[in-house]
Amino acid sequence: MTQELHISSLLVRSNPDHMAMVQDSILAMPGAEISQTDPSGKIVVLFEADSDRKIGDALTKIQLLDGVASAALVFHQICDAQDPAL
Amino acid sequence: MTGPKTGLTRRDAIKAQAAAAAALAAGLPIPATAQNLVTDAQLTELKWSKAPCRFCGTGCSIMVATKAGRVVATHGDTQAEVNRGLNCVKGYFLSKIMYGADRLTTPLLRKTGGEYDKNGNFTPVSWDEAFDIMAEKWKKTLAEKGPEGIGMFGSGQWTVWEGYAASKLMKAGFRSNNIDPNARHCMASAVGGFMRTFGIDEPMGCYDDFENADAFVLWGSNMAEMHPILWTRISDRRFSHPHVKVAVLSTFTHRSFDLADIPAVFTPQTDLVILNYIANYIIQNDAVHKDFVAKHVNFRRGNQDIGYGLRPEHPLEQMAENNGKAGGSEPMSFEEFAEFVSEYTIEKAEEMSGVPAETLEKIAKLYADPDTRVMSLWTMGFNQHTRGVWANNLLYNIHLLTGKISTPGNSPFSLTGQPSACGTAREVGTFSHRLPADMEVNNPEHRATAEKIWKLPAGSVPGWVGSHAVKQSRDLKDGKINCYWVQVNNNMQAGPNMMQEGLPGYRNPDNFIVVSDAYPTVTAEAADLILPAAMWVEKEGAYGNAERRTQFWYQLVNAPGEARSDLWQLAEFSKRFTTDEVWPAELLDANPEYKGKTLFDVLYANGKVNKYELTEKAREYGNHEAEAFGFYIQKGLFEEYAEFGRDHGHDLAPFDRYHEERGLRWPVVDGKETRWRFKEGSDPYVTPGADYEFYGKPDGKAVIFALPYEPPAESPDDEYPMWLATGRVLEHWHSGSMTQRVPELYQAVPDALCYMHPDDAKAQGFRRGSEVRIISRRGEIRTRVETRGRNKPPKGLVFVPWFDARRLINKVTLDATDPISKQTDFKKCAVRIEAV
Amino acid sequence: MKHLRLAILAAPILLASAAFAQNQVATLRNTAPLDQQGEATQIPGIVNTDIRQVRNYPDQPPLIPHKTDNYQVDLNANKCLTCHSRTAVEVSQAPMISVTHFMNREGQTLGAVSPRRYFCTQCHVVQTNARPLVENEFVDVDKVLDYVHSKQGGAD
Repeated sequence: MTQELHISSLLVRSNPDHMAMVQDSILAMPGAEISQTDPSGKIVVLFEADSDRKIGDALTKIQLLDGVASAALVFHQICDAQDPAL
Repeated sequence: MTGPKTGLTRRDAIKAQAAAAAALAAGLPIPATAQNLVTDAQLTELKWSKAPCRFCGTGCSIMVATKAGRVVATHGDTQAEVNRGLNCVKGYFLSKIMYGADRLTTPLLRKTGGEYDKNGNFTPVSWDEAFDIMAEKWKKTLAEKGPEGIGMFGSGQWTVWEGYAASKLMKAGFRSNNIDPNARHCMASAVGGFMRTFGIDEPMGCYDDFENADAFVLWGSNMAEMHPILWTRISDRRFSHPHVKVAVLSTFTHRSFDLADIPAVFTPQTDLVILNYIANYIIQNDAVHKDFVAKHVNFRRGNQDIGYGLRPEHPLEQMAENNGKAGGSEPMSFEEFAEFVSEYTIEKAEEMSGVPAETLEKIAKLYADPDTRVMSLWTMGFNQHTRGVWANNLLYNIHLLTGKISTPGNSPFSLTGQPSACGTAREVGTFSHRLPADMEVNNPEHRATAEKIWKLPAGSVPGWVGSHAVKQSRDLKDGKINCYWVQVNNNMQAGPNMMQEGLPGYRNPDNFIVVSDAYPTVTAEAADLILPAAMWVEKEGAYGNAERRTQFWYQLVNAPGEARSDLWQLAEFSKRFTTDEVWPAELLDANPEYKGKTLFDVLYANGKVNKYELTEKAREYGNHEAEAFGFYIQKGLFEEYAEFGRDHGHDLAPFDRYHEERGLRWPVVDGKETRWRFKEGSDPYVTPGADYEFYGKPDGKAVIFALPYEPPAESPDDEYPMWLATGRVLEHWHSGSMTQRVPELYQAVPDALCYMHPDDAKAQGFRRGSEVRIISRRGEIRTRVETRGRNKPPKGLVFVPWFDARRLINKVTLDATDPISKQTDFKKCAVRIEAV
Repeated sequence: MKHLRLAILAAPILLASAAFAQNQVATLRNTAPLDQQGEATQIPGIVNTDIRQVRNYPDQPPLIPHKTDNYQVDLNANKCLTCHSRTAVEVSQAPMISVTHFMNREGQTLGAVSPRRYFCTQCHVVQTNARPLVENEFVDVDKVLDYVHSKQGGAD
C-alpha cells in the first residue's frame, strides 16, 4: 500500500503543428493535466502519481510522443498521501 | 486521479507551485515572441544521440542533445550497462568542453618574415602550407636518417580508427616503429603484467564483478575521484550488502578511504612487500587452491636487480645486474616459490610498510577465505611504479594461488585512465613494439600477418622495436628523432622531467615538432606547428573501455573553423608522399606494382579501407572524413582492423552493430559478447572440459612469478627529505585542457595545491595558503600549501596534482621507468619544500 | 582573458600587440614562458552565498552554493543529507535531493537514497571565487532556440 503522493510539473516542447495531438496524448495519460500552453509549442504539464517511478515513466512516454522535441522534469515534491491536510 | 477537496488544499498549493516553476523555466507567458511561430519541425526538435564519455576509461554512455549545430545538453544514458543514467561531475559538464573560447581554428606555424623559423612567432597558415612544410621536413629527415629519424606520439584518446590509421601510416607507410601512445604513462605496466602472467592483454573479468564481489581491495587507486561511476557501483554493493568489505591501500589518505572498512597507508614501494606477505600468508595458512594451481598454473622465478629505466649512463643502470634482461625468468616449483615468499613474514611486512600487522592480516584473510569473492582494483599506484609489472604479477599470484579469477566477483581488475587506452592504444597496438591483437613487431610471423591483412609487400613492416614515450623525449633532446608529430595529448605537461628531457627536446633547433590539438596547450606552445583538431562528437568515433567494451558514436556537430579530425590529418598527410620517396628501392623493385603510388593509395585506398561507399554512412548524421575522401573510411578502417582479431580471441562484431548497441565486450562470438574470459561456460574460446584455460599461453597455464621487493629509484634524503606523489582530481581530467575551460569545473578546483601533513607544514613554518617552492634535483615549481584538503598525506609525503598548466609539477618529477613496461614512476621522487 | 582569445584567433591583432608575445599561446598559463613560473595565486575563497545558480540544462547537477569544509560523508555519516534528505527539508528549507536519487541501478525506487548516490561530491561541487582563465561559449537551449527563432523571423 503506497503512502506517497508525488506532485510534479514537466515542461514539454512540441512542434506547434502537432500541439493539439500532443496535448490529447498527454491528457490521455492517468494523472496528467495541462496547466498552461503557448503557441510556440511549450506545454506545462502537471502530473500526480503514487511513485516517482511513474513520473519517470510518464516523462519517458511524453519524450517519445510524435511531435515532442523535449520534455523535462522541472518540479517534484513527495507528500504523505495520508496527510489529512492534503 | 482524485480532484481537489473543498477550498484550496495543500495539494492545490503544491500544484500551483509546480505549474509556476515550469512556466518560469519555459519563460511563459511570452506573448510577443509567441507570435513568431517556428513551423519547420526540424528547427524546433532537439536531437538526442548516444556517445561514450570523452574522459576516463570507465566508458560511461552519454545522451547528447544537439540543436542548430550545437551541443546544448547532455545526460547519463539510462540504457547503458556501465553507468545506468549516472555521470560524474565532469561527465555532466561534457556539453561545455568543446566551447572554450580559445579553440584552435586554423593551423599556426612559427614564422619570421613570412618564413618558417624555429624561434618565430605563431602565425596562421593554410592547411596546404602546414602540410607543405611538414612534408618537406619529413622527407628531408627520411632521406638523411631513415625511418628512425621520425616519430609520433598519440594517445588512448585517439578513436579506434585514428589510432589504427596512425599506426599503419607510421609502421607500414613511413616504415618507422617510433610511434607510442601516452598510454605508456598510464597502463603499460598493466599490459606487461597481463602479457607476462596470461600471455594476452586486458582483464578477464568485467564490471559485472562489482555486483558479485564480497570484498573490494583498492591497490593504489583512488576510485572515488578517478573512476567515480565505478565507485558508485562499489558503494551500492557495500551499503546494500552489509557483509561486503572494502579495503583501501595507498601511500596517503584520500576520498576512497571514506568507504574503507580496512584502511591502510603504506610506505612508498612497500606494496611489493605486502603482496608477497599475502602470498606467504595464503601458503602458510593452507589456503592455496591446490587443484586449480596444479591444473592451471606454472611457477617462474623472475630476473632481479633490473634497473630503473633511466638513461644508460646513469649509475643506477650501470650497477643493475639484469639491465637489459628485465623480463627474463626461469621455471621453478611450487615448493621453491613457497620458500621464496617465506621471508615476507607479517613482522617484516609491518616493519617495512608501516601498516599495522592486524590490518595486514585482515587484508590477507579476504584473499585466503575461500568463501569471499574478491575484486582487486588498481590503476596508477601500481602501474606508475619502477616495479609496476612486478606489482601486477604479484597481485595475479594471489588470485591464482586461491583460484579467485574469471568467475563473477573473483576478479583482479586493472582500471584505465583514458577513454580508449584499451580500445586504441592496446587493442590496435599503437605502442612502439606492438601490432593489432597483441602481436609484436619483432616477431616475423606477426609482421607477415600484418602485411598480408594490409595488402602490403613482405618486409614492409620493420622488425626493430621503436622508441617508447620516455625514450622519444630523450631521442628528441639527443637529436636522434628530428620530426615529431603529437596528436590528442598534452605530453609536455604530462611527461616526466620536463626541464631536463621534455622541453629541451622540443626546442632542440634540429627538430621540427607538430602538435595537433583542439586547444592551445602547453605542448602546443612548445611546438613549431600547431594543427587545429576536431574533438569528441565533432567526428564519428569508437572507443574501447576497461572491460573490453567497444562503443561507437556518430559525428553530431561540425568542428569549428578549419579544425579537422586526426583521421583526416593523417590520411590527408599521407597523400603527400609516394612510395618511391619513402620506401627502399629493393622493396619496390621486388614489388613493382607499388611504384609511384602515394601512401594514401597503398594504405587507405587499398581496396579494403575504401570498400564501403559514402552512401553507407548514416543519412541523418554528418561525416566529414567520409565526405572528404569519398568513401566510408571509418567503416573500412574498422573492418580491416577487425580482421586481426576475429578467430584469434579478440573478435569484434560487425561495424554497423556498434552504432545500435551501448557497446559490446569482446570477444564477440556468434553475436554474443564475453563477460568472463578463460572460464568454460562463459568464454567460447575455452576448450570443452578444460574448466579454465589461459589460452594466451601455449600450454593454457597462467604464470605465478617469484619477484622480490627492490627499492625505488630515488628516496628522500637529507637534502630532499620529502616524498612527492603526483596524481589527479575528480573535477579535472588529466592535464585539464578540456575541464579547466569549463567554468564550473575550473571554479570547483582552480589550482594544483601542495597537499601536506599539518605537522610537516608547521615544522617548516607554513600555514594553509603559504606560497612554497617544491624543488627536486631536476626542477621546481611554486604553489600553495593545503593542509585541510581532500588528500591527507602522512608525514614525510606531499601530493601535487598535475592538471594545472600554470604549476607544472612534471618539472620536478623523475623519468625513472619500469624497465619492463617503460612506464614512468610518477608516484615517487624526492623533493624539498621551501618558503617563497 | 578575452584579449588572449583574440590574440590567437586574430593573428593580425596579435602581431601588433606588444603585451603578449606571439610564441606564448597556452592560454591556461599566465604570460610566463614554459621554463619559468610567476607567483602562485592565493587559494581562492569558497562561494558561500546560498544563492542557487541557473543550470546549463535540466540534467546538470546543481552546484553547491555554500561551504562544505569538514563535512563528514563516509561509512558512518552523511552530513549533506542532514539538510537535503526528504525528511530534513522542512526544517532546513534546503532543496530536497532529486527524485532520481531514490532509484537503484535497475530503475526501482527505494525507500531511501540509493547507495549509488551516497557520495554527493561525485556530482555536486562547491565553487571558488577564482576568475575563469578562458571564457566558455556554450549557450543553452533557450538561446539556441532564440537564435533559430530570429533566423526564422528574418526569413519571414
